Amino acid sequence: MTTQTLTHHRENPHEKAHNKEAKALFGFWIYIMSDVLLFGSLFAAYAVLHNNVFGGPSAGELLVCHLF
Amino acid sequence: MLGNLTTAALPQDHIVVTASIFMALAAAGVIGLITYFKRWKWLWTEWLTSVDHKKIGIMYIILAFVMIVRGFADAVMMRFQQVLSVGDSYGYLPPEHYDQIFTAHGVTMIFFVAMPLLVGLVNVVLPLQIGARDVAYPFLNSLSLWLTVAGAALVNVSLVIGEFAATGWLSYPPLSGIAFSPGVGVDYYIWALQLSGAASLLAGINFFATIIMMRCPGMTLMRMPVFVWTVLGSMALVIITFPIFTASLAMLSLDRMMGMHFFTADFGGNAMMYVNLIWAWGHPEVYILVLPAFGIFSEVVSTFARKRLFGYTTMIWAVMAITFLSFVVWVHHFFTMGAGANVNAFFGIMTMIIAIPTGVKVFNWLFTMFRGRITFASPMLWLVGFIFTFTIGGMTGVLLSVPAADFQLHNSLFLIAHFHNTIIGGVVFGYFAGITYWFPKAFGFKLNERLGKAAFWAWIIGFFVTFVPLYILGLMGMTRRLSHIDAANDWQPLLVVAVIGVLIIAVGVVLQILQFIVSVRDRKHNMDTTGDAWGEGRTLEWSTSSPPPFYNFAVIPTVHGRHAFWDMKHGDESADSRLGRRLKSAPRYEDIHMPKSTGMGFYIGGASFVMGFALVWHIWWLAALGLAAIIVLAMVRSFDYETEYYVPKEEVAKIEAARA
Repeated sequence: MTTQTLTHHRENPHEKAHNKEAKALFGFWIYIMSDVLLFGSLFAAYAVLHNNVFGGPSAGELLVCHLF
Repeated sequence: MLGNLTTAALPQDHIVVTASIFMALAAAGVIGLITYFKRWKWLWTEWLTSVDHKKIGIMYIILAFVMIVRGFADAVMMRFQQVLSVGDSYGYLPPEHYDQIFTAHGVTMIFFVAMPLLVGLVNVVLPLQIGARDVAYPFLNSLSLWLTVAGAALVNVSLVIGEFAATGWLSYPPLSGIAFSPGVGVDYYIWALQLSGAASLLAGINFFATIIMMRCPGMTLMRMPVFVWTVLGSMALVIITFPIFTASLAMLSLDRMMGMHFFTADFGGNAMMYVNLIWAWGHPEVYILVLPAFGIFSEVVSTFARKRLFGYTTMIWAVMAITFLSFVVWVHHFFTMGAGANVNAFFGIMTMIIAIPTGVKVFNWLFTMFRGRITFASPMLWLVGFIFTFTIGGMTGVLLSVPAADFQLHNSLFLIAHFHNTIIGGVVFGYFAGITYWFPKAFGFKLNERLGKAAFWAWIIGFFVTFVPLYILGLMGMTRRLSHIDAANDWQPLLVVAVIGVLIIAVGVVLQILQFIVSVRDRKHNMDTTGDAWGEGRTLEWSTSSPPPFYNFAVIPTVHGRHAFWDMKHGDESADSRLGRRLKSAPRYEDIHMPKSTGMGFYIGGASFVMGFALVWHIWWLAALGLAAIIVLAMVRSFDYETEYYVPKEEVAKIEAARA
């Protein structure tokens, strides 16, 4: 990438609005990715704990489908 | 009406009463001064509502300095308690109060001193270094600041109303569960850290996007200053790890408030899951703190050795390697969990491997100094002290990373000495160097060098006098967090030495406070009129005036190499400098697009504080009100489309002419 194109790009009048949108979109995706990690931690907790039912019914027994 | 909050929550212990009165007096003093000088309007319009990254950075650093006083007072109290509470004597702190003090010390120092210092320095410097006019999301920046302040306020309120956690700085369950900590201490801990954790995550996203999206023309990734690279690594770690922290604290609060059993000792809970999750955040956290300190030293060393940094590319790869490796070492905090020999061996070896990229960096700094014309200004002294101290801390870390050795040293004072060795020697020295180095950029005058150097010597001597005895005590078998010591152990003489050390550090702190006062008083003699305060600046922040105008750069610079400002100053034949001269001689101004100030961050921070306080005391209506206020304020802000304005080019020309 040469400096020439960058300088030219900067002087484009539509560039500012475009740039602002691009920034917002980028930050939004990073935020979503961080949220994925938050839920990932919760799923990991489920994976660790899902058999620790202390004598109660497990998820498999609670959600078993009796239709058939 | 007020949930669990009764008058019984007010302080009874005379030490707490004294501390509360002191805090109230300090607050009254500040309010009185502002009123006396009629500065309320100025404070509100110029600072509290500002979205200018430089001002937000300075407010972060002020917050850190307020909190470091508290965290340091806790440290001094702990040292005195341990030395006095031997044999038949039980010291001056009851155990439940002592436990709160060591918890508050850790929480304050990591979350409300180190993190605000980090975010503050990054705020002040980073946009200037990449040639930007602000961060990517200026309002989000202000929101991060006020959420951090809300968290810090919760910690301070806990001193007066109720209690703080007495569980250690990471609040391991089952001790932190409702069965063993029925009071509000852990709730204060949880909500203070949820607020400041959210703030850190938002700041992480903000700076990450700033570095990726806002660099000036010509600044490719491999032309960024090393500080920018280290912040990039650090903020990537923030984005990846703080959600884990938020999730684990959320599960802990569900255990406490809703009677769930994620981490309880009975009903199928698994406390070790918390320990794993919290260290999956906690280990990267120490690299979040120390990576930017490495960056600061890389800037400092090339400025004061008057050489370009040795091994730029290896420096960057070392940063990235450390960023990656920091995710695969968390089990070394609890080898004693019993994960088995193979798992422990894996995490032990990974931990040792981190010493390699770190060693690369240390050698790069040493080679930069080699045959340089070194000026021993105080940032350089912090650097030399850091290399010495941090290397020792790193070596004791490698000792601890051997699982078999760790089984002996786990939770002993050896560990305490090790991590203070790396955090004080690395993070604290690094940020002090950064503050001294960039102070003239932020305020337009230098700090007093004589007092700065004296403070450095007090700090480094005090540091070793305090912590070398702790290494020895750890090897003698003294565990951490003891509020009373058996006289038969013969530990007291070394504890006396440690107290002397902490008093020497206190002298350093007093000297630093004096340094600020004296520097402000004598600022006329230390003015930086050129913008290049140290005369040897290489990066873009030195190309603008000190302090910079609110828009940073009247004309956005275009860079052609790693040493953007150095090329502008010295290169004569290259295209870089011709461009630099042209920009200086005949600037062609354009309208500048800037964000408007807004009080919304302050309001949302305030509402978050109210919500956090209400959740601590189970005042449900107030918590709902606080949450509703946050949501409504966020919506109002989202529908405000008039958040930016243009500074006309005539105005820019006028400001620039006045500054010249």
